[in-house]
Amino acid sequence: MTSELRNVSSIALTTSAMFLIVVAIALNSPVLFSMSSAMLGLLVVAHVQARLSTLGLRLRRRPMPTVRQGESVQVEIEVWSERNMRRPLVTVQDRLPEALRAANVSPSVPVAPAPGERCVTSYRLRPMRRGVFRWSTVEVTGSDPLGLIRFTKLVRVDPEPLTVLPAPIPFPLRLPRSAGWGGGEADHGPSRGSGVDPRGVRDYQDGDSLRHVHWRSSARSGKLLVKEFEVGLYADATVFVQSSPGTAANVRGHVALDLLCGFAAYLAESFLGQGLEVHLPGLEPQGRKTPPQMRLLEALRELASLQPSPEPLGTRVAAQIGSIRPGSSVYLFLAEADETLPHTIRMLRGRGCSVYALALPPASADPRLASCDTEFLAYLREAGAEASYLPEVPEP
Amino acid sequence: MNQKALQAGPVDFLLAALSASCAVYAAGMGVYKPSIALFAVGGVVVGALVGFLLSTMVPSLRTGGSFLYVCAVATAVILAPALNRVLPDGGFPDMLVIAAVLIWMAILGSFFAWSESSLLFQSVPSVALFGMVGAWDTFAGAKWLFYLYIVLTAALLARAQRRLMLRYAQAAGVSSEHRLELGPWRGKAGPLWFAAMAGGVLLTGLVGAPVIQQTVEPVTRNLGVSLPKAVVTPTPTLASSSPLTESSEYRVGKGPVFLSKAELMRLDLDEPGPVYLRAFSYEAFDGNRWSKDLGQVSPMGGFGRWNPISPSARARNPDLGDAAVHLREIRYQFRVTGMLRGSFPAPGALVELQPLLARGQRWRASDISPGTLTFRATALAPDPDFQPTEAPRFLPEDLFRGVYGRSDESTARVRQFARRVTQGAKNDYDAALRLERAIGEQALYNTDAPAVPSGENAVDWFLFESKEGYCDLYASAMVVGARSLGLPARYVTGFLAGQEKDSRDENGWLVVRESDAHAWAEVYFDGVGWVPFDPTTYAQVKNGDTSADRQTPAWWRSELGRKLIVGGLAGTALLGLLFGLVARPKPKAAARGPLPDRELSKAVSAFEAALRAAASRPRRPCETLAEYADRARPSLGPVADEARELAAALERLLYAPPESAGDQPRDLAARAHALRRAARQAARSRKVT
Repeated sequence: MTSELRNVSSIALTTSAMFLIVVAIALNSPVLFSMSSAMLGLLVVAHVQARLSTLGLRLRRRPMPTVRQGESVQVEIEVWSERNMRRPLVTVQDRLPEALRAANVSPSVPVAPAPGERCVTSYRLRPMRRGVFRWSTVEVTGSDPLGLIRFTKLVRVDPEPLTVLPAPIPFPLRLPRSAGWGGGEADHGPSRGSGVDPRGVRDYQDGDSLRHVHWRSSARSGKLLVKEFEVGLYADATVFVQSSPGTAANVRGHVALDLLCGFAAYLAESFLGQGLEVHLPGLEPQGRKTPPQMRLLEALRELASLQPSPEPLGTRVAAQIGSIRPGSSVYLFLAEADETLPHTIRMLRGRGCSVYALALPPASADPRLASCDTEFLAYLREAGAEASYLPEVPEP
Repeated sequence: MNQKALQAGPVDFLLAALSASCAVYAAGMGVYKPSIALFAVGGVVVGALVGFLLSTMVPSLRTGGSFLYVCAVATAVILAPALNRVLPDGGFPDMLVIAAVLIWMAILGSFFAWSESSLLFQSVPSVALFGMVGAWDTFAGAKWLFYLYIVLTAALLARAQRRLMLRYAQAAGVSSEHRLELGPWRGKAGPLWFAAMAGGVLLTGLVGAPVIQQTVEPVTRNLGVSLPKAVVTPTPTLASSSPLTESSEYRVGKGPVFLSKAELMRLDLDEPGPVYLRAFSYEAFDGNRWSKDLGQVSPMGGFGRWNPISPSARARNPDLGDAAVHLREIRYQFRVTGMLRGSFPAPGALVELQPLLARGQRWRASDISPGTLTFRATALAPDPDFQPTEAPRFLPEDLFRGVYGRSDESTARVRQFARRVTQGAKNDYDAALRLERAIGEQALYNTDAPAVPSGENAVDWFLFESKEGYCDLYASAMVVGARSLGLPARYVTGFLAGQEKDSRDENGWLVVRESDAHAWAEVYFDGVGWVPFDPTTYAQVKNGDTSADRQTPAWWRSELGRKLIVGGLAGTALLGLLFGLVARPKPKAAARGPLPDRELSKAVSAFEAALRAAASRPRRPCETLAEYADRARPSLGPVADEARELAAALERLLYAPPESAGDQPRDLAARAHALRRAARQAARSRKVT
């Protein structure tokens, strides 16, 4: 409140000085001339000093860390002076892109770099959208030592990217049935590549193929048991996030694509937490091997950089179908109806994949978004997918 | 961050109180009411003290007390007329009630200015008050008080700006002011910038203002703005012709006048009836302003060639003129009891003045401040038994050096009027008497008469257009009229004492009050010198209730009234205290941890001094302590490792939470001092080698 009040007081001071000088002229009063001149003198000197405070400043942005959506991040900017002069304190503030939806932006540390020295100013913000953001304009605001007059100068600096990872949005997720049986060990551990030798048996669950029933064990135990061979066969999750132009539309205050990425991030976090694999075909290069502990960060980075593209999801999945391991679970995150999908789903089913189509509930009145209605979901089910709606996300 | 550094402290309250005091004092003095000035200053200072104590005892008031401040300011506005009457000496006249509003805003506001915003807002009524005082143009010290006010307010603003910057830094995550000073604030503007600002203000105020005034003078002259009565500067006493102050020139017909009952001096003078006490005389007139071309009248301050306090013999007062022989001697004593400056008003030409001093007591001529010192004086006045007849046609050059004959002094109508009313006069004296009566009967005496419009000849306007005014215009008309007849005349200001019933005190001394201020004309006659002529004695009063007669309300003078006011102020303060106590937050359980910053900064300074002694170069601001230790390593010799270790320990502590430091800063400081000694020894031994 104080800074606003002082802005008002500088305006009031200017106005009253001008008023006094008019009255001084009308009354020919030497005292009023003296007072108004002194006030004007103060304001003129304050103006000059405010301008001098931003003179000869140079800035460089320091690399920014990767941060999760909604988390606080500290932005650092190096400031130094090319003039051999002292100056009143200046504040440095980025002109942040609107797409970042920055919240809780703190003021920056005021600085007055001494001649020939570099100092660092920083401020904090909470990015509320995932993405990779770059900006270059910085506002340098200086004032006179009394803070009466403020002068803002725009400076362009080399942009450094700020990667904002999507915040996982929980939803009811059923892990693949073969999961939980040492999949991680089978894939990365000593038993990796052990072929078709059954590692053991487990209880039969709905959906298990009768071909895998271990009849001998079942007869002995009196209940159906299935062979668990080649652990992880059904444990791979292949994730596709729809990024058609319509996904840029708003759904209850959120960008649809951001919601899809948030749900996909939750899925990736859940799967990787269980030691299972997650693939993002089309977003990441094939054959890249990342240490398990880095895999989640890598996946989230890929989701953070996902931008709307004109290619329909069905076409994209079809193009990547060769890289999808047969028998794996394919998760399709949808925001709008896509006529090419049923055909692609049939192709996936033909490869023995389980397909899960997870769609945002129809809510948007945005004409850009053709929501997935129940009819479309039924259409997908006909094609062999398990289609369901994702939960609604409350407005921010 | 130390929370005290983020909030306004005692210095800020002091600065706010002093700056507001400058404004309210100037306003009080601007209407020649020192009692108002002192009352307001006292109110502001007491208010600031109470406000500071309240906000210190109840910290929640600093953030939650703005509502009461707004209420206080609103009270000053809403209850303006009533509060104006509370002010001593009758307060401000109704036309200037806005000044009372502003003064009460400053007083009441200071009780409730607990937050930084309200402290800064206090400068608003002050600026407005200075604007009003500047428009009145009645208080010579206003300009200097304004400069002082600017400096004080600038200091207040600068401190507030620093706190704002500290708050920014805290919001950005910096937890120590000390680290800011060592790091990003090292290149901060210093006193030179403030000096530049002060220089700019003084330069434009003192040098620029006259230049601007001269530049716009053609505009000012041609404006011809006739301000409406309500806007016309209401001038206290007799405009700048006040006998209270000596001025080289002044304007007549400046508008409404109001005078207080403030006592100025007491005279032991046995003169029957009202007594004219002359203070200053003026000679040159340009139609609106009188100026003091001869500059010899003031017996104090402007002694010039004449000193009435000559211990040797009675001094010859040049004011008497060479031809004045029919004079009577008036011996009297007097005592200055009020704000009298620049002159001792006397019942004639002062020829002798002696302070009655106790043994060993000293007195300087420039010191006429109110006190108990009594003076013995002798004045020469025209002998009432002598009837003058003719005025000299050839005047002593000393007295009348080129002050007549100005074409802009009078108009044809005035000259014609003077000739007409003095037709058939037996002699010059008779002509002067006829003129005096005619002028008195020509217009109505009105202390609320509006100002003479700019560009108009004041005497002409008074006699033929407005036909109302008060003593300054009557006297001016008399002087101008007499001069148009060839009579040497001059304009005199002083006091007409002894008119009121209560004008004598219990000892029979004549009491001179501010409301006795007066202006009249004097015409020079052979044989007696300057004879007073006062046309106002023939004037009819337009409204009986002159401002001069305004009395201080009886209830204010009574003890009960004073008690009510003091009680009201105390009640307001108590209310604020109660509010603060109610709104007071529960004390937090968090114990105050040690504040290691000071100790830590001592340790850092000692460490830097140790390395500076060894490396002969100070630490660069961009250099960490460890980097500095590494740079100084070659010079440190055997203590290099200790220096590196100490640097690491200091850095660790610098970035640790303050609570966790404990006694470590003190230990580190001791280690740093030891390191310094060792480094010096190492340097010495290196030199020897």
